[in-house]
Amino acid sequence: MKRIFSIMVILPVLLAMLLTGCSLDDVADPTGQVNGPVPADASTPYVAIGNSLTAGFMDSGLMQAGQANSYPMIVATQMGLDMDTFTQPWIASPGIGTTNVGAGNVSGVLYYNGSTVLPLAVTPEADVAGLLLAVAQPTQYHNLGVPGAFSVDLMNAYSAGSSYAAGPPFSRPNSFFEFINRAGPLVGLYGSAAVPAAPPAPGYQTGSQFYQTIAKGPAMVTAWVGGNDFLFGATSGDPLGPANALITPAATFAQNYGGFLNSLAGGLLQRNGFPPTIITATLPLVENIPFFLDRATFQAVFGGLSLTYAETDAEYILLPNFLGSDLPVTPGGELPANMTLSAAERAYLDDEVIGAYNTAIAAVTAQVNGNPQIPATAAMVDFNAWIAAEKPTNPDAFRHFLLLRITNPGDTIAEVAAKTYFSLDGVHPNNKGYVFVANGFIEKINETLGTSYATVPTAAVTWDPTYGAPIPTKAYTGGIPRISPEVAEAMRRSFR
Amino acid sequence: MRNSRSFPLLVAGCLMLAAGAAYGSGFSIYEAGSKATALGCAFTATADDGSAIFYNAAGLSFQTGRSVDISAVAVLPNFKFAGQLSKTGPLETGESESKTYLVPGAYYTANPGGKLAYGIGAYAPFGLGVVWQDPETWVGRRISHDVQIQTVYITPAVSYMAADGLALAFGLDFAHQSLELSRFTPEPQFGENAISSKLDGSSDWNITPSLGAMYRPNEKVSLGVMYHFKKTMKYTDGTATLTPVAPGNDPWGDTVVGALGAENSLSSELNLPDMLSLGIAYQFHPKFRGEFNYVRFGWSTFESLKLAFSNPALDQEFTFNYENSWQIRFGFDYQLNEAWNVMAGYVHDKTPQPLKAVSPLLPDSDRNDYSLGILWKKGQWTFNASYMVVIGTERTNIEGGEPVRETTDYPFGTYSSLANLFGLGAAYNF
Repeated sequence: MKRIFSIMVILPVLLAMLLTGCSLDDVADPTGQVNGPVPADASTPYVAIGNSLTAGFMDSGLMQAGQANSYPMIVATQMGLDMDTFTQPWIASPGIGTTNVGAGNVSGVLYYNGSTVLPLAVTPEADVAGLLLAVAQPTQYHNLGVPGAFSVDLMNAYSAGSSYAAGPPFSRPNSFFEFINRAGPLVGLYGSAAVPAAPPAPGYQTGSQFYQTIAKGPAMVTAWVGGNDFLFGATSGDPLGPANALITPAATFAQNYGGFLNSLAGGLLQRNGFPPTIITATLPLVENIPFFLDRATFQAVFGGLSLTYAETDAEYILLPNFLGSDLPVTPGGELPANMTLSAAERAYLDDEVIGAYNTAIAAVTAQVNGNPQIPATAAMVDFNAWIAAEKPTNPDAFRHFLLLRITNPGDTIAEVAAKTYFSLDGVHPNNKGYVFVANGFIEKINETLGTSYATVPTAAVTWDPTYGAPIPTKAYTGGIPRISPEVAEAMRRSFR
Repeated sequence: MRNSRSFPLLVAGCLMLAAGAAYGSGFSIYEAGSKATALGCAFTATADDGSAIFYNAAGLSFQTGRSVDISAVAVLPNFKFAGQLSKTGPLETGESESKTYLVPGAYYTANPGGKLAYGIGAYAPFGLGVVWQDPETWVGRRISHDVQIQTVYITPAVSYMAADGLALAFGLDFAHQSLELSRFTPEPQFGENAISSKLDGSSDWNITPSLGAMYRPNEKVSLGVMYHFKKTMKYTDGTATLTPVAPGNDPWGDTVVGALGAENSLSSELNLPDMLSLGIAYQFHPKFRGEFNYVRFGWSTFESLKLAFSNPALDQEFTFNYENSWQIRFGFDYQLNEAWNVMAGYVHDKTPQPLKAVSPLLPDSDRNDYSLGILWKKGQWTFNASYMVVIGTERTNIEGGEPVRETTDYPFGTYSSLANLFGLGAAYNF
């Protein structure tokens, strides 16, 4: 009886458990345990937008040696990023420079051979693709700086054909868009279709710098934009003449820049879900670029040639144009108008072009920073103020290497190279110069975000304009260094 | 003799049925027999049925005659998740599919009456099966939406009665394993599924020894020790299949699959831990017996899973960094009468998985197991039924407000788990 009772009690209990089992409750929402998102939570911490100054263009070409010292690479490194988390479109030696070195050929970067400046090597155009070391990278580069890019290109250019330079008055499609905004085997994924008129969802088929940046979704963007909008006109030496057509009117620049920066802020906010940080920068005045040598210094150095000026009120001499001409060995010659900037030309560039651009950059940056509809943190690096503070105490940093060779005859090449912040093209910084620029961005980033990324001492980097060429003495042999007209032209323009 | 011939067929049948399901810590499956399951697998010092081949082969010396023992434990695991893929992402939830995994046990044992007893068994002491619902949208799909690891041991063992009440056993664990992992690779910018990846392979056979000892100084006390050596399962013939999710419509997926190859060979090694169990059983009453086991798993050997492909660009490594873990097991057996027994058990199972390794692949946790069972004897037959519930503690891989593992692929949040196990066993003694 007892046994039967036990079985009758226990068995049903066991059977019930066997048949039903236990069930699992839903998990409580744990999202309250997570700290709110901050920029560092973005899938990509940092992307750089711009032109050659952003790409790491140096010595009239884009090459690994210069790219390794691009200001975005330095900023990224100081932020703790590495070559995987901050990628660049690496280009092998001899680099990609200009095309004025014979039909079908592309010049590499320029180098100093002990007496003059020459292309490091020349690459047939058909072989240029072989120089693109990062072509297999399946995603957009973090450094989206495109040499030769204009402000209008930021939103619109995704290929050589769609670049602003492809149309008049340049009529020279900018192939750097092919190298940087598209990615080798994946050509066709990036920017192969026209940018739609209406703002589209970010995607691979819209490959301008803007759309690729939105696709990348960085927490922070540095945008140094606008140099090419005036440089082609300025380096023509005739910015108020026919070359004025090469200069983007200030109103157009302001429109381009405003549209771009507001779109960037809105696009990133939508993409990431939190306000982006955008660091902009002003553009340097022409008198701060060694390409343009002030008349007093020019007279002091080359006064013995007894040169006269077609523009009697010339304030600045286009140094590479001068060194690439017959004048250095023709005492008594006249500097033509397109080899100098007159007072009016300089004032026009400073005030109505670069000054106006900078005003627009500051205004748009402030407007984006204070826009209640599209929250964003925007701040500007004022490179004019930055240079104004540096130049009086370190004037040689803003001199051309070839000029410094003449004015420092007792110095070795290395000693002269250590003085300047600019590369052989006289427009783009060298290693030291890019560190100088990067420090400007780093300080602004720290000021804006409260970070403490370390700046880099300019003395810690060296620049070798010989690119390791075996020059026995590397000592100055005297005389005025002359350059060929082709090299002078290479200094004036990027690959197009 | 007739039974001896039929045993290979039995083993083959069990191998076909064997399926993975992680319901012991790590991906161990400690339930090698239905009766043992009812006892919380506190069986090292008892080992009085065919599953002694796994729990302690020295128990064979204390059994009589020959036995064929078949066991099947159906495992119904359930995993749930709530969390995010990124801080800026929405709350995502997920639940594993309702799957039933059958864990087999098939044993033949013989004690002719001399000093030597022997047996052979097939069982599945390791396995993993986590299949998430809605794989295309499951937040952890970049890591895994379907993982299956199946491990079968075939162990011939002999036990030698070395002295009165003392038996020593030696066995050889022949092990074979298969692995299958499915997941999605997103296109890198917007996270849409671009490539469906499936890895599968079978390991080479691996042989390691196992040891056992049992000492019964009197009729009330039994002491047992079991040890299975660690194993390295080598995969040499695996396959990785990459399939574009939207061929023709997703150039990224098409291009990457084209560049990497739609099918690649795969090789790998997967370490299985050693297992040590120390047991003591005590006959409290002629009808009531209890056992306690301390079980240690050498999971520290399970550091990572390196996958080497014919295309090195696909090579990858899952980092686990497991730690050695332990379990305590209690089992109780009450004899109602000559025909019926009821059994119960409790297990506390310490997870070997560090918080950083908690993932959709295996969201492991400390577990508490509760078991019940009945056993019915009828002539030479013995039948049993068992039930065990495995209750995992909730685990949240967020510390100090930050995800423990900061990647773009691993979701962070809270995982919970529970498994119901239903076992049936039948043994014929002759």
